[in-house]
Parts: sequence; structure tokens; C-alpha cells
Amino acid sequence: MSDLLTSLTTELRRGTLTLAVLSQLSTPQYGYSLVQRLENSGVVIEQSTLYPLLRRLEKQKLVTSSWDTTESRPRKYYVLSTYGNEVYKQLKKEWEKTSLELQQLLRGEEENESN
Amino acid sequence: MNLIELYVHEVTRRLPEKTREDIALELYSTIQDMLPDNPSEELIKEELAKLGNPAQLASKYRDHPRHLIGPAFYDHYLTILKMTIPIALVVVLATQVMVAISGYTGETPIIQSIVDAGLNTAGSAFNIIVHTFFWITLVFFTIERSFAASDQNMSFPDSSWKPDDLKKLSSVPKKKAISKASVFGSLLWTAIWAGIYFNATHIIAVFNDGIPVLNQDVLLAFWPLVVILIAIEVALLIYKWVLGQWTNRLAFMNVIYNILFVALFTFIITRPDLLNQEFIPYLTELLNQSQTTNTVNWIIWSSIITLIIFSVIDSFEGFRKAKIRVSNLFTSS
Repeated sequence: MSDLLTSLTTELRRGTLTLAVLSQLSTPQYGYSLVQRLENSGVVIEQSTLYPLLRRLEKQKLVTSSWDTTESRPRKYYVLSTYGNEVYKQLKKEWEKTSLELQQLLRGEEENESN
Repeated sequence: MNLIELYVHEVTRRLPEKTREDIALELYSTIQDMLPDNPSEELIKEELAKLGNPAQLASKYRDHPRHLIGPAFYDHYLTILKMTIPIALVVVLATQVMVAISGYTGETPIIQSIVDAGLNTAGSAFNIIVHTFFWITLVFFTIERSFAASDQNMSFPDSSWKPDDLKKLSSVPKKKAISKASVFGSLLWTAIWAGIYFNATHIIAVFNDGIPVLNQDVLLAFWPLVVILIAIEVALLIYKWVLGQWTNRLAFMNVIYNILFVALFTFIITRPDLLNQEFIPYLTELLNQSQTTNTVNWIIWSSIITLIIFSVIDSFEGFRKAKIRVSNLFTSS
């Protein structure tokens, strides 16, 4: 039972990860800073998922990357591309719509139960 | 080498060469970000444990599909397998029975002959199943990879389906469409000629003495070419099956296949030592010397010409069918 619940939860969250990551990339971020930002907002993402995800987003041309070598250790920074920004806005709208719909559904369910 | 470098190496050695260096650098700097300056080994181990098994991490970086045949082609794959294996089995059974009958000399007890034939058949059947399975899987594997490379988001090409597509389907004229029966027939034909080729010395023989007409060594010397041709034929059939109707491109590929078939057939049949030396006396007994050569030549060339005629007709048919316009049956009626 709890195994099933874990896998369902993972599935539920997987789709939202891209949106969560995109939301933090309007300013350039490197891998670890992104982890921290997400964690501060309570979004737990496995690092082994995040880093490959960033590269996939880059391949899909949603973000661009650049190496910063001015600091003591070189870091790879990712930032939203113009295209990525557009996609992000639309995705955000979709999410807001979905979560509203779902909220209404779930609330309706609760009311049914109490009646 | 410290633990971090070892870890990074364990990840990147599983990745394609061109991305290796960049990922290594990024991973290395990220892991150091996670750690304070001069971290203890315990702490490093703790952070590496968070990143998890390097093999798993590497697999997340790789973006080619981690399956042999994806959902888009799986149904086709199963259908083709289900269709091909019975055909192959029937052909094996038929050839083995013919071999057993023609090879029966009466020297061994009939029971033993039957047992031997049964064992042979089981062996060949197993062989053919393994072969069929392997080659069809290989063809689909190749299709899967070439599609995945051209469009990586296409996990399900059917997702762009519209109800309007139905009209196109129903308005593909019968003559342009490739029926499943015709694909089935072609597969059967492939299985038959392949079966005859690999068992020629048993099947084509002077019946009462069992002297093969053809020289097995010469005939089978070309088996790699024949196997390649079979693979091409099966691949073409699968393509036909998936496509469901004739197109110019398919017709063109069909021409190439026909040319290859005719070329290989002509090449093999015109080998001077193809005829079994022991069989020639038989012929000369029936006919005189010059007639023998003439007859053999006549058989060779008439079969080549017949094949060419059929191939040319088949090639033209392909283009003719491809040309048939897809008219909309609903609006025209």
C-alpha cells in the first residue's frame, strides 16, 4: 500500500518538477544554488534528477547555459531563454487552471462526504 | 584520485564521449558546492550517497530510449511475429517431411526414420523460431532507433490522430491499399523460397536414387547474400505493413528489392558448377550431349527471363498503385 502510494506521489510530482525548475531560472542559477532555492520553498527534488533535467531543458532550447570561470571554481549557469520564458508562462497558466479545477473537484468531494 | 573524482568518473564513463567532459566538470563543481571546504571523508560519502548509484545517474543523463521496441511499434512487432512464426513453422514442417520421404531408403526401420525425422523437425523448428525472432526484433529495433533519432518527443506517433484521419483511411482505394493478406502472402513466399534454397539438395532430387540435381556446396556458398536479401525483404514487408498503402517511395524501394532479387538469382543460377556432377549422366541418358547443354541453358534462361518479367510487372504495379489518387469517397458520392 505505502509502496503504491509512494509511486503515485512520485508520478504526481514528476510533472510539476519542470515547472518548478523553470520558475527559478529567470535569473541565472547553477546546479546547487537551484537545489537550495527549491528546498527553501519546500520543493524536494533529488539532485540526481535535477542535473539531468537541466541538460534536457537545454537540449529542448528552453534554457541556455554558460560557464562562469571567474570564481574560485567554475560553475555552469542556466537561465531561461526567450522561448523558455514563453513556454514557462503558458505552462504556469496551465498549472493554475489545473490546480483550480482540481481544487474544486476535491472540495466538491468533501462536501458530498459531509452531506 | 579522491572519492569525488572516482564518482564523477563512474558516471561519465557510461556517457557518450562528446558530453563527457562537460558533465564531468559540472558534476564535479556541483559536488564541491554541496560540501564545505576541506570536508571529511564521512561527509563526502554522505553527499555522494544523496546523488545515488552512478550507473543510475548516468542513465538519467542518457536520453536515448531504454527499451528495445517502444509503445509506438510494439503492436506491429507482435502482429508480425505472430504472423511470421506460424508460416516459418509450416514451411519447416513441409520441407522436413519432403526430406524424410525422399531420403527414405528402406535400410533403417521405419520407426527409427520417423523418430529421426521428428527430432530433425524439432531441431529445425527451434532454429527457425530463434532466427525469426532475432531478425524481426533487429528490424524493429532499427526502426525504433531511427525514428527516435529523428524526433525524440515522438514516444507515440499516433497521438497526432484526428477523426479526420479516418476519412483518409476509408478513402484509400482498395487498389492502392496494401492488404494484410498480401503482406501475409509475401511472407509465405519468402519463407517458401528460403526453405527451398536451404534444402534444395533434398527437395530437388532424382526421386528413386536421391541424387541431388544441384551442387549443395556451390549453392550454399552464397548463403550470407541470401540471408541479407531475406532480411531486406522482411524489412520491406514490415514497412509495407506499417504504411498500409502504396507510395512512390515504397514503389521505388520495391524496384530496388526486385533488382537485388533478380541479380542474386541470376548470379547463383548461372554458376557453371551449380549442377551436380553426378546428376549429369542421368540427363545424358535421357538426351544426347548437345541436347543436355541446350536444355540446361534453356531452363536457366527461361527461368531468369520469367523472373525478370514478373519483377518488372511487380515494380510497375507498385508505381501504378502509388499514383492512384486518394479521392474522398464521401464528398464525391
